Amino acid sequence: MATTLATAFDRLVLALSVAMAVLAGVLLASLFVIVQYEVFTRFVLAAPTHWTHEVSTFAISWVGLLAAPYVLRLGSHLEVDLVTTRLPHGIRNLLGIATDLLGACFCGFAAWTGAGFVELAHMMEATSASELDTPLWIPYLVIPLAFGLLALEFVTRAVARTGLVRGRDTTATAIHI
Amino acid sequence: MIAGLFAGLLALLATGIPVGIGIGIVGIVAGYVGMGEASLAALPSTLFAGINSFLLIAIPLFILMSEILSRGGVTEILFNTVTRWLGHLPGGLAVSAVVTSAIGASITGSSVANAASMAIVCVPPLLARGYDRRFSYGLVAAAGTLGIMIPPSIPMLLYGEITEESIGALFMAGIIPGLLITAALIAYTVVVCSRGGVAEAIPKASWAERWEATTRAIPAMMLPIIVVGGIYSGTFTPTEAAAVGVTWALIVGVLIYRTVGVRQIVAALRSTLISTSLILVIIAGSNVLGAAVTRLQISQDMLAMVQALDLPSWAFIACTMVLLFILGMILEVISIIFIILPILHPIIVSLGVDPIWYAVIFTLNMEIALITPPVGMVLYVMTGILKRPITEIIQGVLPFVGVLIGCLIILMIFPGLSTWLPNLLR
Amino acid sequence: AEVTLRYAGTLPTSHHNAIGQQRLADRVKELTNGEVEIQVYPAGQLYGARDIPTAVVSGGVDMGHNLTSVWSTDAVAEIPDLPFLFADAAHAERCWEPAGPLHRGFAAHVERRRMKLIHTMFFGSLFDFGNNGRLIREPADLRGMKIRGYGRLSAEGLRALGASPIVMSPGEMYLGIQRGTIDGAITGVTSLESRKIWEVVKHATITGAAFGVMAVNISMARWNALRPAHQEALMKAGEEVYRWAAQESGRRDVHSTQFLIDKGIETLVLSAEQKATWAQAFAPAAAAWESRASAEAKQLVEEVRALRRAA
Ligand code: NA
Ligand code: NA
Repeated sequence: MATTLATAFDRLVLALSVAMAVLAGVLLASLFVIVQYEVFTRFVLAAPTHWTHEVSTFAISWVGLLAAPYVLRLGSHLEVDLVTTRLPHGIRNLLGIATDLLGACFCGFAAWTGAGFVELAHMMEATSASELDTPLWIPYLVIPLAFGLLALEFVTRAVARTGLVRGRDTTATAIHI
Repeated sequence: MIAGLFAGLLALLATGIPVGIGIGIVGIVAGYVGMGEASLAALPSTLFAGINSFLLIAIPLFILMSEILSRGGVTEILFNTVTRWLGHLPGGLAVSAVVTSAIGASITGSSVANAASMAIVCVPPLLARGYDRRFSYGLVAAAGTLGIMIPPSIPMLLYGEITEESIGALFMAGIIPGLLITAALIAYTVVVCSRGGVAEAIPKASWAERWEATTRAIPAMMLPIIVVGGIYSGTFTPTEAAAVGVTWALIVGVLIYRTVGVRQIVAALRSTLISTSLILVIIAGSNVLGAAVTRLQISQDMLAMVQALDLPSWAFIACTMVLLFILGMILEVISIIFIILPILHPIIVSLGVDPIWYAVIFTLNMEIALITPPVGMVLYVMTGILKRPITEIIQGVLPFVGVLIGCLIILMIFPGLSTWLPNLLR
Repeated sequence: AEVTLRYAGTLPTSHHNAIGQQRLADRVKELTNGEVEIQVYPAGQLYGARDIPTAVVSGGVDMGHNLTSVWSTDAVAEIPDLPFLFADAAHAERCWEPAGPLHRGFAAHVERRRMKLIHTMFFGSLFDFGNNGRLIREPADLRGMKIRGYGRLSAEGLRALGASPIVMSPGEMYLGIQRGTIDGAITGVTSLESRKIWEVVKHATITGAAFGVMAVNISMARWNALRPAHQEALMKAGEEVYRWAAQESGRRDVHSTQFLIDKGIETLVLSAEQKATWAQAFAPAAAAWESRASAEAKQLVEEVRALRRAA
């Protein structure tokens, strides 16, 4: 029962992470197109845009953070395992659970304060003070979204380390350190 | 205070927590201890401020450019070409590896990416020809680090972003030092190979073979010319150059070599996304720590300390180099840039030191950081690719750390090597 | 210290507004016998300009300075950017002094956004060109030029004058002008000097069309938590810095203009007649402002014009 629940929860979080990573990938491709387009309009057409600079600046934070939960799932965030690989398996696993929960706390806190921050920017009608005048709560939204999901990914990884999640091996990581 | 901060950071990172998250946690704890709840309120704004920058766009784009090229087999094409010209000389294959790495550096902004493709392409032929295993690893790792000195360079972009120095000037400044390091690595290789009698010689290639290979390599080798030429002529900015580089990489891979298809492009996007996320999470976390360091006025304290010591500026510069070397052993390069540069740069400027020259010796120090244990990204990437114990790679790389330190000293003594080219541009 | 306030700024330490930031800290310390310590973070150490407003209100930092138009994009905050609104520095000083209409109007505006205006500081002349190609004598000379602008009103102004406004990072601007990616930049005359733009341009036109005003705000929560004596000390020190900055910004504008001339930059300072021609060309930008301004904002501008006539 617990295994089924844990596995279902894990798959749900995975689906969310994949969806956000796909969105990040689309944004990454658009980033390239937008910057290349600006060179084209300015140099070839001599008609620069007023939006590419701002849109691409916001996109970069979205690209980096939206993909972060999926990258955590892959185990591809930079992690130092110089010490942990020398520990006995059981202790290593326990330490893994502890650091995952610590990571979940940090990310959860970032998501929670981030949500307040988004609300505040909305209340203040803070904008980018440019011609585009983007309401800042829109770019800020990535903080609660990405860190919220990162927190969930940390939690599922901690649960998976207890062996409750079917078909997820937390020891096989792509970590190089 | 600062010692406690570093001790705490190292202890936390040693538990295996993702580096960006770990740095962020240390930042928020340091802030909380130093000034209470106000630091907690600053978390979301600080996280966002760290990664909300136009210049950071060049990071994914330069990564994407080199991902597309390496998936298109460009490193192999370059290596084959260089080997045709130099392979028959004593130590020729090793020298070819260094030269290929220098050319590779001019089409990537990252030493890790450069070293990774070099490890895949150059190490097997070196070993097959009987070069010493450790020597080969060390050579490829050290030559790989050229990626951040020869433009384009992601760390120099970040340097310019933080200090508001001209990125174009920084890029120009890296060219001659990059060539100097290349020459030093070649010289060391020739000395080692002529003494050791290693390696079976490669038959000399005919002129026809050479020209054939060179013709094939030309489209790839035009990339640095397009990037630097485009910046120099004002067609695009250094950040935009990254997008133009992606376009050219697509032209080369899809239309000219026909080695890149939809599958390679998707794979390149995927791994670019992973690397970008890895770097941006570290930048965001580092900004939390950096803000805590700033709020606790640690840089002011350090500045006061420096002033109290009344060091001549050269002695101060030398001290910072030692400090950076030590930090480079235990921290990842991008984290160092974000943690230390906001503290260091105002001091450098107030001492009247040429900031462009300082950026170059800083970058060379970061090259060294990439190959010094225990934390050296190039070491780790090579371990991952070569599937060999990290100790073997570390043993191989140590003499090359000496070579790079030698170059560092030369660049410190002769600032003109770094500043002549950017000044010419003015 | 009994109270520590963290104060974020965006300008390099040599800029008179960054010096003003430090002066406020020093003076408050004196006035409160060290009970209130203001820690200053100039040069964007903590936050970039755009991120300061939300950082102040969320408690990420206690206070900060920014051009009024960055604190808020409401039409009230854009008043200093209205072309040729102020007759001269003395006129501007009467409008922005603590009892003046613009101080009052802007303070009321930021109060609705949970901030308290402590004082303002003149940034100085803010619609000046540094460019290559040809000296800009009249608006028509700008036709087809690619000029890096700042903010919304400068972009609208540039477009009204027939130029193409470009958005570009500060880090790329110097190289962009030097290599001809863009033809020039529009900024304050002091920035033409301090940001080294003079090194890469041949011509400069000092229009004096806009007049930058930095507002120093503190979060309302922090303000309300201060003892009345401390609040009083902040306001008193603020007014002193305001008076000082008004003098200093005028002095620096003159100094930077002379600096450009000494460096061999072909420099034009608009005469009264030339300003009249330029003002006509700006009409579309002024109309755009009118269309988004509230009755309250328009009333403030009327008060400013009345003070001009009174002088
Ligand atoms: Na490079
Ligand atoms: Na290292």
